[in-house]
Amino acid sequence: MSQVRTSELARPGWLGALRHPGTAALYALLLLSMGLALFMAFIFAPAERVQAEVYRLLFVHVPSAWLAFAAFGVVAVGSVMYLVRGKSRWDRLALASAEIGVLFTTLTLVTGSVWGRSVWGVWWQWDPRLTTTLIMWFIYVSYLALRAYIDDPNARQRMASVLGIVGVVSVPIVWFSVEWWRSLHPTPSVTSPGGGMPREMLTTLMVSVAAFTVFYVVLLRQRMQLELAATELGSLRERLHERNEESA
Amino acid sequence: MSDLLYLFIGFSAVWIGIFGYLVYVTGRVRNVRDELHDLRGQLDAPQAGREASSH
Repeated sequence: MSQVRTSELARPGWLGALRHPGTAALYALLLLSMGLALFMAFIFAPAERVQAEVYRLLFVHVPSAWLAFAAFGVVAVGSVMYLVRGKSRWDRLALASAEIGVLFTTLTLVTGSVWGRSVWGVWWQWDPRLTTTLIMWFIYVSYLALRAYIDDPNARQRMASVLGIVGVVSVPIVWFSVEWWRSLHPTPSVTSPGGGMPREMLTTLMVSVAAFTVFYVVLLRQRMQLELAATELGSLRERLHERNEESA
Repeated sequence: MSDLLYLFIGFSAVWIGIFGYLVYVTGRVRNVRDELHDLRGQLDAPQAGREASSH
């Protein structure tokens, strides 16, 4: 029995993990899509008339923002499903996606700030889009802080689920902020009618979004594995503690 | 600063952020699995001893 368990837990490592066909295919897709996205961002897409080369930040800024929105949507779905079904795997999905969403929101803010410095001449503006994005970032950092603060697993999962559902309201607010209030930030050029983006740029943007989405799946999978292992570790520690108390 | 430098800073931030997070999570998975391995060994050890003595 113990031998079976030991082999199940044998640490695969980076190369070992790639022996699994699904994992290998996912990593191959990741490398391929990222390579293609980089090639298109720097070689295929032409320079922009006004911003010249710096506009290429679009190909990391927009995919980061898109992934942040998608990740917080997944948090809401996982939270609803946890409250309805009560299965921990939904809560694990919500937690993993929230952490990745915070990462991508951070990258959106950083790349936006760098771009803003180049185009507007300032690192930060209290503009509606930037401000609402920062508020969204704070909401999900609070979500992670809440989870770290509550010890009781059931209370933690329930309260986090409620915040995960309420927090997703920030996503449409960020999206529509450029239309509801006067903003320096441009309106979405992909979805607005006659957006005027040349076809090469639009194709490159789509490929970049797809590549970042693959990256999101890889990160989500890895983060969920971590949470599963950590949960198992907690229950084993409890068992060991109980056994030590019994023997004492 | 030139536009190319801003471009470099923006792309670097994204790649360092994403790959840094992936390496961090993978490292934590490995540490937790190692610890799980050790704990299971501790839990199974006396059991194995009892099984051996019963034969």
